[in-house]
Amino acid sequence: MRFNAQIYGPGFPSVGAAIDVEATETGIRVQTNEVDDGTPRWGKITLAKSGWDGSQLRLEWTGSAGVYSLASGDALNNAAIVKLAAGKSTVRPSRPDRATRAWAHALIWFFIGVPVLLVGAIVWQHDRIIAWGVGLITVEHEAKLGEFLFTQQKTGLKLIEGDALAMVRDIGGKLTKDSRHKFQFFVAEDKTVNAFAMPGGYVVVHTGLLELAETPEEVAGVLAHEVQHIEQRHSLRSIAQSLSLSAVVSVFLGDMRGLASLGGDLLQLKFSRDHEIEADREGLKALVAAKINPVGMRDFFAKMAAQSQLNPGFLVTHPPSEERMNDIDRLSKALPATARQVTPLAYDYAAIKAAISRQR
Amino acid sequence: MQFVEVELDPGEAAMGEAGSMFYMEADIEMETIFGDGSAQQTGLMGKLLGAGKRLLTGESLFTTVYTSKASDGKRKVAFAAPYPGKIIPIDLSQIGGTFICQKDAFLCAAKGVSLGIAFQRKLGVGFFGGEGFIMQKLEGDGMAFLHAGGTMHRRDLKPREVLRVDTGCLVGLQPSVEYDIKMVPGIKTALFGGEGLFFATLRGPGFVMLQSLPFARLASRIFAAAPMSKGGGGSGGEQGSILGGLGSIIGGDRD
Repeated sequence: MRFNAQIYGPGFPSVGAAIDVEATETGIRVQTNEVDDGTPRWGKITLAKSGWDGSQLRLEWTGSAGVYSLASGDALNNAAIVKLAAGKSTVRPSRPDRATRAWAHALIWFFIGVPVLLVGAIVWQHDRIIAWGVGLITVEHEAKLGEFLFTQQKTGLKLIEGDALAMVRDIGGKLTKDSRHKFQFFVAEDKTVNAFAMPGGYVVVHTGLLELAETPEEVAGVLAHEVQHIEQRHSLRSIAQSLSLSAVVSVFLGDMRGLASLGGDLLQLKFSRDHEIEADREGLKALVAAKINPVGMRDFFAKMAAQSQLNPGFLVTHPPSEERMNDIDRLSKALPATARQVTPLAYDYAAIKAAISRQR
Repeated sequence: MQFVEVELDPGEAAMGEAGSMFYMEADIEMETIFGDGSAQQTGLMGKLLGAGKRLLTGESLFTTVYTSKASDGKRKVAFAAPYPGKIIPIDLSQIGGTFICQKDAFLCAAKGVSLGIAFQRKLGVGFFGGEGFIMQKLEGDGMAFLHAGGTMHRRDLKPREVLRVDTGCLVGLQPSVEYDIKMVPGIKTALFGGEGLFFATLRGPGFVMLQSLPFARLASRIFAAAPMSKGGGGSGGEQGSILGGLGSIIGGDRD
């Protein structure tokens, strides 16, 4: 076979010269100044994968005038040459020595493998990492955050006082007796049927909700649900989920400025369905513990579902999925007999409702 | 600091990296083309491919072709380097038609030289060789001008001759040169010798172009020496003055 190559060596320019090479079973033949040097047998030739990226084939041999070297870049030719020389030529591996390779591999693994593994672990253990991160935020810190957010929101709310507030505070107090949070309950003048919780223990009930409810137990059911959002730190978990890591770090460091912009969104913050169901379940337990009839919660959510077309306020943030209704239903039926030993909430609810509508 | 002045006969053309034009005489028309303007690129796909390659090498998507439309005599166009350094000519017809160079080394060339990209296939060299995985391939038979920082040094390596080079100082090489990395011997030297963990090794035959001062190194020195804020010297300060801010007042480099 014949192939083109760049030749270097005695008698050739230092940058090499293009040359036509003939390769046979016995060796190669090229035109050199020293006649004998141009026809080395395969046994005298050292083959190596070479070139700047390892894609070239280098044929090297020592003649009477010095060392000659051929560089061939064509992959097809190179395969044919290697075939001809197989078993007859020495093949020099083209790779760095062992120590260099070991270090290079170690570094590549360290700088690429480790970050990839870390990211993988974070994605995989996402929930646990968030739970761990939220766990690092102290109750005091959460209270500060809540206070900050609530002061921001307060200007937009028309908070009212009176018997309604007294009742809400009273029921709330029963539900949060052993809590580590310092709860504060408010009633806001707003005819949408809604109630919301903010981190740190702020629970706001709209008058619209109080008007829709028929018994204090129903109000207690809603309050129990909202209180559990705070107890279970759902808002913090949602924030942690939606925020980037850097923002979470800034919360640890007590830098609230980054969160200021979030305040507005927080009110409309949608809890995940899991969070809602958790709040229902834990709320039920809390109602039982406070010796309040848990049927009120179920009744109110049923009423909400029936009203859904009329009054979507609460539903936007609290979607009444069938699954959730069934869940509450099942749980309240499964309650032990002791749980039914409840003390009715003795409030003159009709009077409270009348007072609310008068105030308006 | 240098620049290249090209004399164009009527109808002749040269091409330059976008933004490298320094001055040109009357009757020279410049046309910016997508891709590298080499003869092989015909059709839209070919042009897009060429342009994509240039984007990968970190160069502008466009090259500018300067054509002399004069009917009498020669016209001149000049190309200047973007930072202090040296320019060297390479005659591709003398070296086998192909030269591999650093991504941003190309300055200008005769029209017909094609600019391609060349991928480094060796992982170790790509990561630690100092030039990355993508280099530039100059092909054709005309003159090409390369630019690099500091001073440029040409070495013609004989067969079996090995040169160890600080990574980053390689500007270009003939494709026949074996380019690899080698661990700096001795852990003490590797960590505190200041050369990094690896050398680039170049094994002949073939010729290589080296630069004495990669621009990144110059830039990092300048950055380190730049005053961080008014009144306070940078870490480089006045030759590492232990006096810090006070030293810069004494040294008089406070502005």
